[in-house]
Amino acid sequence: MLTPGNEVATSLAPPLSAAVRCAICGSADEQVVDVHVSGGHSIRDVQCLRCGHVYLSPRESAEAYDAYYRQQGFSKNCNNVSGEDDPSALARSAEKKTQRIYRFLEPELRPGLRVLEIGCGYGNLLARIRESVGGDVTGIEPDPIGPVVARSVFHLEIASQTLEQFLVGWNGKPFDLILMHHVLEHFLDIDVVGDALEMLLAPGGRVYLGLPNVTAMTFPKRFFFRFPHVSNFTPYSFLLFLWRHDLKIVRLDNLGRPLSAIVASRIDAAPMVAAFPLVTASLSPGRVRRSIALCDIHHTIRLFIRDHRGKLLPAPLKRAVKTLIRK
Amino acid sequence: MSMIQQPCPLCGSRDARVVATVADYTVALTNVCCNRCGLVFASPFPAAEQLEAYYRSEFTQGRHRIQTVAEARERAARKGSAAKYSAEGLVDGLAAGSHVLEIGCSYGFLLEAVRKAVQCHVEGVEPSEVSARFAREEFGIPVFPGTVERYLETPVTERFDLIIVSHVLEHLSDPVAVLRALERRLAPGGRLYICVPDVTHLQEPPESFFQVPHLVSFSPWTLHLAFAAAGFKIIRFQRKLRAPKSGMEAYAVRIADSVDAYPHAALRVGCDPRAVAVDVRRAQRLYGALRAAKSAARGIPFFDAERLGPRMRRLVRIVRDRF
Repeated sequence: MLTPGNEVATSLAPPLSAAVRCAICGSADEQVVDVHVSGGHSIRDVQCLRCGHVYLSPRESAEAYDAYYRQQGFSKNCNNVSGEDDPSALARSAEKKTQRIYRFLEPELRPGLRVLEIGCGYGNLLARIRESVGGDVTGIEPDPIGPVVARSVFHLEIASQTLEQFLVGWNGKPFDLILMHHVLEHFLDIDVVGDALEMLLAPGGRVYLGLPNVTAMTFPKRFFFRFPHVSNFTPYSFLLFLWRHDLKIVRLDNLGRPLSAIVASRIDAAPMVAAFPLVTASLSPGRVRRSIALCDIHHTIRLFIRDHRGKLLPAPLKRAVKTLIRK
Repeated sequence: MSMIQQPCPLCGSRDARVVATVADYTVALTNVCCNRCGLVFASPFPAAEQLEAYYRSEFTQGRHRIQTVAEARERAARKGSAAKYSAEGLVDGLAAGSHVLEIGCSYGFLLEAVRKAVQCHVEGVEPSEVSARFAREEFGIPVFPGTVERYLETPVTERFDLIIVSHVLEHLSDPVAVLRALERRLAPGGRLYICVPDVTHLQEPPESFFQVPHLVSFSPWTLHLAFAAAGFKIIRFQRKLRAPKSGMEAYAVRIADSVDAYPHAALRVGCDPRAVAVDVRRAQRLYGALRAAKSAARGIPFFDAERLGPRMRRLVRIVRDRF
């Protein structure tokens, strides 16, 4: 989520529609995993044959992404939000997701925490944390609709800015908890985020990172391979990214779902989660192709059942098939 | 030697399983495998000051029984050391006039081979007094007399096109910190050459492999992780090397410096701590059986046990490589 007026982002970003190298290992050895056109953008996702990381290449310039977020491209195209939507209805639509993240975050919460959410959307999660444990909550969101909804529904002031703009005006007080739910995959330069996390995190602080897992696709592939998703992490490429920035996973959600991890700095005393089951499952580049194929089969069956369930299956059988597919 | 309990030098975890307990001189040495990242390390470690004193005097003088430069010269001539070291591979892409640094250069044979192959400037870092003096007197190589940690405290005055760290990384208590510091001394586009023993492919009995100065024992996976944590990536990698290199070697560059990268899936050997522990135990059993066979053979009349040794070693190597 990069915007203009931001020298760091502009200088690091590739020129318009430039082919890029893998952000994890710097390799240019890649294979195409998905090509399609969506929302007027040509989407070509490739996988690094060296480390397995999936990324958009070629990709638009930082200015194009800036314009996309500023003009509510993400909320309009990906969340189907229009100018006339009721703010309360928008906030309610994110409530189920908020409850799930809050339950995962609960062991880390205590009164007096300084919390920052990067890409906070409508501010549901921040409002929920403020309501339960109080503390000092800060949110940043480049899409202009987010701050409007947060102000009118939760009476929460959210800055309509990018991470880089936030860093320029940051007062130097570190945060005990930094939240990033499905945000990391939007950054053109993930190392900017890694460096920012190292800088913003207080000693003993925690980062929550939720991101799609491209080796266990629980949604149709169009939700993974799309214009704003510049990177698609595998558990292994996620681990390498964290490792490079002196961060370690200390708690992990179910791997079958999108990855959710509580991350701490390496010097922290908290024990790291055993890495080997996480990485061995995702190290091979073939894993992503398999995941895409399984996802295609799964969603073809799902859509077929959805469209024909009344005619084809009695209710108990339908439930059994659903359970089977979920497994 | 006083020992200190340490967390994993790679990931900081304290969750580990014992893989080998051996006796080295008077010290009972326990090596554990981190259950989180798979690194094998000695736990507890000797204290830093004791290690420094050990390398200054005891490592060469005590362990190798070399007291003076003359003795070192005599040993080198007897063993034909100069002929064993080759700059092959190391000097690929290295231009004349380049700057090369070797951490733990010992007697300086490798640096001299590199200098002969490419007319370049070479420097070394060596904590052993006798070895450093030998390299200076015999080859005229400028050598920093001290540990790598002491060397890295000095201001950065020069950047190197190639940094050689051959059989040194396993002696360090914080290898990632050293790699990060070396990254700052590498010229743009420069390469790092690392050679370390491979704990998933033991080429000697565990009693010899796990010795007091070996604080960490890498597998391909943990070596790769250490590089990743320090901002490097492996571009060339080779396992199962024979002496004098023995173990595995890797050429690494800064992540942004090259479009080349070694396939990561091939570096997964050793990512499961259970498998690492099994590998070490298997080697322990194999070498134990060899020792028992040798002592049994000594009792057979008219049988030359010395001739059996190399054959048995060959047999062990075949069994180990095959299974």
